[in-house]
Amino acid sequence: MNAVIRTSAAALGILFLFAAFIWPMASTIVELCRVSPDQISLSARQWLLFGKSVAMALAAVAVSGCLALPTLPMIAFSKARHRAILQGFAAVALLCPPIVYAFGWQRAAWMNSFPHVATVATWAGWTWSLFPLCWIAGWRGNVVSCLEEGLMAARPLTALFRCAWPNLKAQTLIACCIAFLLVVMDYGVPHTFGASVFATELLSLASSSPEPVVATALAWPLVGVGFGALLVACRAMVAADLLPFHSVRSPLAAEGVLPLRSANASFENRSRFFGRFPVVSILGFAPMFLWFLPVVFLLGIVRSPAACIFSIRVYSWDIFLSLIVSCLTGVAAILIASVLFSQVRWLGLAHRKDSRSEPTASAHTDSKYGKRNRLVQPRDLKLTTLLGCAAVLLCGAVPGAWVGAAMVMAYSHPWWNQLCDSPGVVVLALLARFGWIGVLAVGLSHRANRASIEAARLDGASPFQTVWHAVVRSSWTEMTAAAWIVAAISIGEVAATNLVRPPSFTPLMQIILEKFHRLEDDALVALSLVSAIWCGSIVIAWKTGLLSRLIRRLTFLKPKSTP
Amino acid sequence: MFPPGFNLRSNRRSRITWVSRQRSVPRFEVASQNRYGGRRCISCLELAVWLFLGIFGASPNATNAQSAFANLQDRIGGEFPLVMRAASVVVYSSVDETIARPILDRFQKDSGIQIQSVFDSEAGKTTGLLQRIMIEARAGRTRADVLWSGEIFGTIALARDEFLDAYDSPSAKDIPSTFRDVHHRWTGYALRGRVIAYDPKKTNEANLPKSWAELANPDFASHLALANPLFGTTRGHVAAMFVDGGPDGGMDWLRRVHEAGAMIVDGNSAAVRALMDGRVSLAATDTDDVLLAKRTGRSIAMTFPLMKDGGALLIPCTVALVRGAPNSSGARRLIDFLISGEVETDLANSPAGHYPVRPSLQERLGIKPPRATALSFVEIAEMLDPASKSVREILLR
Repeated sequence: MNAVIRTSAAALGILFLFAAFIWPMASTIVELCRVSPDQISLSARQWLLFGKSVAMALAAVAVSGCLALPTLPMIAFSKARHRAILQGFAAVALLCPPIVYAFGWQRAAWMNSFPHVATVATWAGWTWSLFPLCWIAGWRGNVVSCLEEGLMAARPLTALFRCAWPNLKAQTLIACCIAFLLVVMDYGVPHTFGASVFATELLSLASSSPEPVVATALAWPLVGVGFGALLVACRAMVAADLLPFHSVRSPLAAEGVLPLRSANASFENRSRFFGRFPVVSILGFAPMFLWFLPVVFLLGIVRSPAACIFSIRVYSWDIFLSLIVSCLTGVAAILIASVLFSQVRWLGLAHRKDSRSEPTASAHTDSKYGKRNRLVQPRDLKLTTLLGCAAVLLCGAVPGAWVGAAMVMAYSHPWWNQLCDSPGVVVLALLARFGWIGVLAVGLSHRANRASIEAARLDGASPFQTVWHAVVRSSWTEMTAAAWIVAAISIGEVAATNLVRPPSFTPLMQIILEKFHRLEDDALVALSLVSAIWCGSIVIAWKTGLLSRLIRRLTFLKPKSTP
Repeated sequence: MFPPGFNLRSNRRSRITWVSRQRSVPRFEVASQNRYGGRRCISCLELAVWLFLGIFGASPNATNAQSAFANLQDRIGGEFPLVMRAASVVVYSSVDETIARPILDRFQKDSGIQIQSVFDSEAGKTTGLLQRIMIEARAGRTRADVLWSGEIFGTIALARDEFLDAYDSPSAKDIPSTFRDVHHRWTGYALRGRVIAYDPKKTNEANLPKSWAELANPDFASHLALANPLFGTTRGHVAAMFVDGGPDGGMDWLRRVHEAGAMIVDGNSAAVRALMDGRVSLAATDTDDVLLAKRTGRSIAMTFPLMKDGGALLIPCTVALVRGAPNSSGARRLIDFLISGEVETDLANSPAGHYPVRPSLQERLGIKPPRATALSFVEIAEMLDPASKSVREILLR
């Protein structure tokens, strides 16, 4: 049975990879080749909008970094379980659709008078959470030991910022780049506040132009900036020893002694820290409630709870389908990532000629897959993996309107009628938009399981079997979390789904926007809360381990008992 | 959860087989041996398969899948978009979803014809839907059966480009000929007016511009919010200015509005929102947006500026049959319903407050629209492209 499931999963992963990334991208490139140079020249107004978008995104990243900075002492000096709570709060803040924050903050009258400031503030209130999440992920090894050494000679804050902080620069850079990517491509928040940015301009163009390729062609400056940010993020991941394609540099990492979830060092003066620095502590706690305020503002405008319930009933089918679509997107992202990473040949592990793994592998000639294993050429990274990852990551660097237009171009033939009439096309659009998150997450899990991967390969497992047994099963929690992150984030997407909506299915965010424009406050609050609760419950389920336990119980993925 | 005809069974050997136990209903029987609890695992597998099929619209057997989905649909209370496609009518609508949805639901209930609808979004408005119809038609995969538009100019342009079919609906007999295409490709009804919205607490009505041409005066235009004139009714409005004052006059109007620093926003409702937020004093918008804002208790009022001939610019909703509609017979029935007096009454009584075009309805409901401009809808529609080009060159450069 497992073989059937495994083969189906691999086939589906390949199918999704082609349907969401390869085919739309190839179609877009072919169409772009026909575009005349005049069509890719931006008007002065569009250049202005582009400059404004980049400046606003940079401002939002700077503000969010400042907001997040006080959480660093909390990460450093709190116990592991308190750190987990901070992680949960940050995850809720990140996964909640930013447009919901915008609806809430819009009720604060001063915000509306300055739409661009309000947009930056809302973005900052959304993306601050990336910083603590990245810092917590990097809170291990060198960082902990440097802090411990610093604490012997200096005051806590001095030790933190002089000794530990320099080791977290890569994580900070990753957070900055991802935050920049998220906000510069965002359509919902500026649209809500009535601020014109390049992303809103692109969606208008994509909606109004008879040739969708024009919008994709004109997006080149934004795509360039986004891709640059993604490259810097990848570079930072390499520096932080996080990226799976990179050779192992650190001798400690090469020996596999850097656990992904350690960071549980204890300090004698930890408990005293918060008493000695109350202001820092309060500042550290403050951002955690940033997501809470707009939700309270939103609740404050409810006039009739009955009307709220009524609107949920009216749109129950669309809500249900939106949640299913977002879940499928998350699962598909993980399937794609698993297929992609099953092609990776690991550096420094089984296939290095000078490593001891080769004679060991030869010794396994009697094993079931030994013969096949010996035929595998030792290579660091397969071209297919590289191209697949590049396609997936490139889609992370494009705005939603670009993705939507690419889908329209790719599936314009009558062959695809069935797909275009079904919510499946929305799944593909969301997958193209957010699949990169799943790929990065699985890549990181892959990295963490090098020893198991090596063992599996030595035992003669095929590439997909290696990923299935050595990565999926041992990193089930992380992969479930990645799938749900994609599911939660994708429910907030507006631009990509706007262009590919099939008949009779309106994605939740489109309904919410419609309610916003029609000034139907009760329905707006009810539907916004549904999306916020969905994201919050995902985080709670993830943090309590409920999801992974539930899925393990419900599915065949219960690990085999070892003899 | 699972449709009838699908049974689960745990056996000693893993296998997936198609077993036809009844004459015409094949059964998808899954039997497995699984050390981790076979039955439960297969339930999940089957759920996944059904979700996948439901979402992506594939089906192993149309008849069986149709009954299965119908069963699931009844239980959940929704509709699976694809399986009912053969018997359904697809309507592309830029009439407000809140107003249109109950009307379409009523038709669905009365006629038994499944309705699948795509509503416009604030980003693309009617223009987005029209472009979608054109793109789909050019690719040879027309999906829409009926276009129910919130404005007329785009519909006329679509008819001119031969994307619409003729249908002389019996329901349109009592609609004045001004609102009907001579070739029966579209029918207009339920008017909305172009207005200037203002806050009566802050702005005195006596100080408002009396005509649209006067609005370009810097004293007014510098405090004006205007929806992007490439979309929706504002697109038609600007084209009307080009017909009213000639192309040069239209370009001059745009230039003066631009030089005065008018705020260009995403849509009419965004213009009203800018007014309510106090960012501007005047908003050029449609009557329905002002009426909706008024209903929520906001301090807002409207005035009808006039065109050169002294008439207000009133824009009807339109209904049209899309050329190559997959279900044209169902589409005709829907068109008959949509342009009936009953639906026009609903639209007049709705929060959007459309003005009926049927004289009998105007009398019965006691709703008298302001005197409309004599400018021809067709002439305005002809001016859409030149006006949009000028908008790009002058207002959005």
